[in-house]
This record gives sequence, C-alpha cells and structure tokens, in this order.
Amino acid sequence: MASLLAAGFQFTWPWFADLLILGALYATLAVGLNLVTGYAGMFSLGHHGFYAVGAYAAGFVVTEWSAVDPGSASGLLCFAVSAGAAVVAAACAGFLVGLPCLRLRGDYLAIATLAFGEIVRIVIENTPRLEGSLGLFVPRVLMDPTGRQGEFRLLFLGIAVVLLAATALLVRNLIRSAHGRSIVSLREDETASELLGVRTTAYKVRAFVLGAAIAGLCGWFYAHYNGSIGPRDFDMMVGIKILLIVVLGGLGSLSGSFVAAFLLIGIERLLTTGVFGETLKEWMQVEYALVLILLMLLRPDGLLGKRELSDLFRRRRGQPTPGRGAP
Amino acid sequence: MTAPLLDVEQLCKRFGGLEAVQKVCLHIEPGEIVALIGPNGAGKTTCFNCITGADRPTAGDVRLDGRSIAGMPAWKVAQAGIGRTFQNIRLWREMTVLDNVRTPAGIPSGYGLLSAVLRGPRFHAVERDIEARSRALLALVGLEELADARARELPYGAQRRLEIARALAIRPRLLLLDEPAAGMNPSEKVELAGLVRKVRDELGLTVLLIEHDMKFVMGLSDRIYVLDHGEPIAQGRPEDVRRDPRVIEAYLGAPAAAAGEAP
Repeated sequence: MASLLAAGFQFTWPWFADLLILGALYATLAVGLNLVTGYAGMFSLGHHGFYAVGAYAAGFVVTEWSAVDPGSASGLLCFAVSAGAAVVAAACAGFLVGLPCLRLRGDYLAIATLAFGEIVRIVIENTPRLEGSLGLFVPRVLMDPTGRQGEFRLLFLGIAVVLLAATALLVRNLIRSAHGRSIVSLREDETASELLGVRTTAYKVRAFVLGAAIAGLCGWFYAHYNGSIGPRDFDMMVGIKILLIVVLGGLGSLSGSFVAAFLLIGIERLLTTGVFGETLKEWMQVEYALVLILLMLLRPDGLLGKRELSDLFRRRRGQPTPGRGAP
Repeated sequence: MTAPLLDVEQLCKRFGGLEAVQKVCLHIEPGEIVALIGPNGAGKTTCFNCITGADRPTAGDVRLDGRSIAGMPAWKVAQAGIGRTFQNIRLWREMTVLDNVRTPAGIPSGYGLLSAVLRGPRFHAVERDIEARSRALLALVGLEELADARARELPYGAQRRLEIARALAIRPRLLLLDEPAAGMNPSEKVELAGLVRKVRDELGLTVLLIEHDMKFVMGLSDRIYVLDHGEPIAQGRPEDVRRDPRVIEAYLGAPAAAAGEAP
C-alpha cells in the first residue's frame, strides 16, 4: 500500500502526457507498417531503419541550421524543412531498399529488411558527423521547454495526435480506393493479382515507400520531442515492438494498431514506474514474449483481426458489415 | 473470313529437359467458343500460362488482334484484353465478393494516388462507376445477393462463378477458363454452359476453355483443339474430333483405338 501511494505521485500530467505522446507515436509507426505488412502482405522487420533515417535526417537539418530562437519564424521554418527532409530521406531509403528486396517473399523479405535496419544503426554508430553512439543533440526550434515542461508536452501531444490522425486517414482512404484494393489483393494472392492486371511490383514499391515515409515522419517527431537521438533509440527491439503492435492489433486493422500501441506502451510505462514493485521493473524484458504467447493462444488473428472498431459497433446495432473498401 | 482475335503460332515451352508445349498453333475467331482438351499433363495449362504472360514462351509468338503479346508481363496482357480463371481457384479469399470484382474493375484506376487520398469529385464518380459495373457482373453470374460475403465463405460452385465475374471485370475481349466445370455437379454444369454462352452473346466475348468433362465440351464448343504430350494432335468441330482415331488413342490407348475402328 505504501509503495502504491509512494508511486502514486508519479501519475501526474507529465507522466500521462509522455504515455499519450509515445502511444500516439508508436500508433503512427504501426499505421505505416500496417500498410506494408497488414495490407500489402510484405513482412518487414526493418521499420525502425526508416524511423532512424527520418530522425537523423531531421537532426541533420536542425544542426546545420544556423542557431535560432525557439519559436521564431526561422525556427518554425527549420521545423517544417526538417520534416520535409525526414520524409524525403526515409522515402528514398524505402525506394532503394524496396526495389531489390521486394522480389523476396515472406521470411526472406523479413530477413533482408532486418538487415537493412541493422545496417542503418551501424552506419549511424560509425559516422562522426552524427556523433556515433554518443547520440546527436537536436537543438530546440519550436519551443524552449525549460520552465515550461507542461506546455511543451501539450504542444507535442497536439502534434502527435494530428500526425496520427493524418496518417491514419491517409492510409484508410488509400486502402478504400481502387489503388488500395490492388494493394490488398497482393496480400491475398499475388499471382492472381498479376494475371488480372494489377501492376504488382509498382504497388509493392508504392506501399513500401509510403510506409517508410510515415516512419520517417515519426523519426522527425521523435527527434524534436526528445531533443536528442542515438542509435539505441532505433535498435532491433524497436522494429520488433512496431511489428508486435501491428500483429497484436490485427494485420489489416488500423484501429487495432491504435488499441495495441496504447496497450503495449501503457504496460511498459506502468512497469517502469515501479508501481508494482521494483521486481516487476525487470519483467519488462518478458513483456513482449508474454504478449506474443497470450496472443497466439487467445487471439491468433490479433485483437481486432481484420475488422475496425467501427465494424464492431455496427454489428452490435444489427447492421451488416460493409465490404472492406467501401468508399 | 474475319481476322483471328487470338493467334498462337508455333508456341513452344521447355522446362529444363521437358518439352511441355511443342509447336502449338491456335487461331481463334472473334465470338467463338473454343475448347483445348487433352489428357492430364498434355500442356494445356502451360499453353494458358504462355498466352497470359504467366510463363515466357521458349519460342513462337502469341498475337492478340494482330499485336504480339508474347513475353509481355502478365498485368500488361491482362490489360490488353485477356481475362482468365484458374484451375485451382485463386480468389482473394479474405476480400469480399464485391471487392474481388471491384479490384480488376478499377484497373486502370482512372484517378491518381493523391485523388484517392483526398477524395475529390472525380474519385467519387469513378468509384460509383466501378461499383455499378461490378454489381452488374455479380448479377450476371448470380452472386449479387452475396456481394458483402467474404470470398472464402462462398460454396465451391459460387467461387468458380465469382472467378468468371472477376475475369470479366477487366473488360477482356478474350476469356480463358481453366477447367471451369471441375468439381461441379451436373446441374451446375448446365448452368455454367448457359453462363458461358450468355457471356459470349451478351458481352460479345471470345472464349477459350480447358475442360475434362467431354459432355460439357462437346455441347458447348464451336471448335476443339486436342493436345497430347505437348503436341497438337487434332482440331476441328466437336463431332469430328470425337471420332478422330488419334484422339481416341491419346485418351484410351492404342488397343482401344484399334477396337473402335474395327467394327
């Protein structure tokens, strides 16, 4: 009881804000990966690589920019330009990795993308300009958080929510279009798609590049929010965490990714506060494995399967579920 | 005589040491229903794969309306006007019945990726058109009631009909059916034959089909090509092919052919 009370003071606004911001960030990453893995059916374990490319592209732009006052017009411009750089860099990386790798299927693609993620990390560790394994300090350009932590968190929570809503809407609209149906058909039977006129390679590359661009945008957000980025922020466990969120929520379910992201990040944050005692802090290592085992036993198709939350409510009211992809 | 819609000239396909298809020639006039028959392993499906671009022919040429399509990527061949079904049903199983038809019906899409994301007026107009065409095709094969079901939930015969509707959705001029009647019961086969004729008469399509059910083939086809061990052994009207001694030999063996000739 005493430990509960002692830990209780931690559940304050900063703690919740951090939880929500990280949850939204990982939900956005999962939305991007869901497009690649859940809808297009390409198994990627290297999503953290594109996340890193975006973060470091943004960090590079900010450190190259002449010193600015946070919040000034120049700072806002730097904020915007670094976003563009992050998206372009991650999309280009996605294109370069995608062209050769998308000829691979299933496990082979997973291994190739995993290798890409590791290559990115190792390149960063060995590049002096990016401060190697020390991590790159990203000066504040939007707002100086000293003395205004609350406002700073509120601002970034707002940005995170907009980012999540915008990317989710983008992916949803894309999937519920003629292009999206072609993309989903690849997951179902690529050979049939090709013989019925779907430009399979073109759509695979498009889905992969778009997923990478979304990860790049997440990297940009993280760089500005955290104020520093290091190779450890983008190691393999991050890629696995993103994939776990997608699988946990359901391959091909955007709202599933939302639920799973907040669930997983929530559990993680709860464990690290030590509210359940110091012993459980170390159990964080077990979290992913345990979640995966429970998932396989209880809900092998993920929390929501291929459905969306809105489908569930519709069913409850006794209306038929509309065809996936209804405009 | 009209120009052939499909011209297959001296088509050969070799897999390593196996000559799967040797010097096959097919000439199919617009509006015909033509069958390609032969014992198992005769190379019929390989022929289909070479025509549709799933396999690259080792030699020979395939022309659609006088234009060579041999060696083209499969998606280009499909867009050029050849729709097909598969021997082992290859529907997009987790997609709905409607989406199985809407996907090829939306190729080429008629709007860009940006328009898809931003949902402009053009998007809605094109989508309405795609949906209307798809529902009309589902009605043609008798599946309009099941539009919202998932493809895998359909009974077997309905899955075969959905494959036909899906192949029709790319607006083909030539429809290739790979064993469309396989696994169907007699009444379903009669319905299927009616559907193939309807497709030919109402949509003005040309049909090339592979089928093992002789009664079905004889009743439906205008002409028949027979393959054996990758080589063409006979062609002509159903009644002539039925009596051809080489065809009987290929199906039943030499003694049976001799016995058939004796009386």
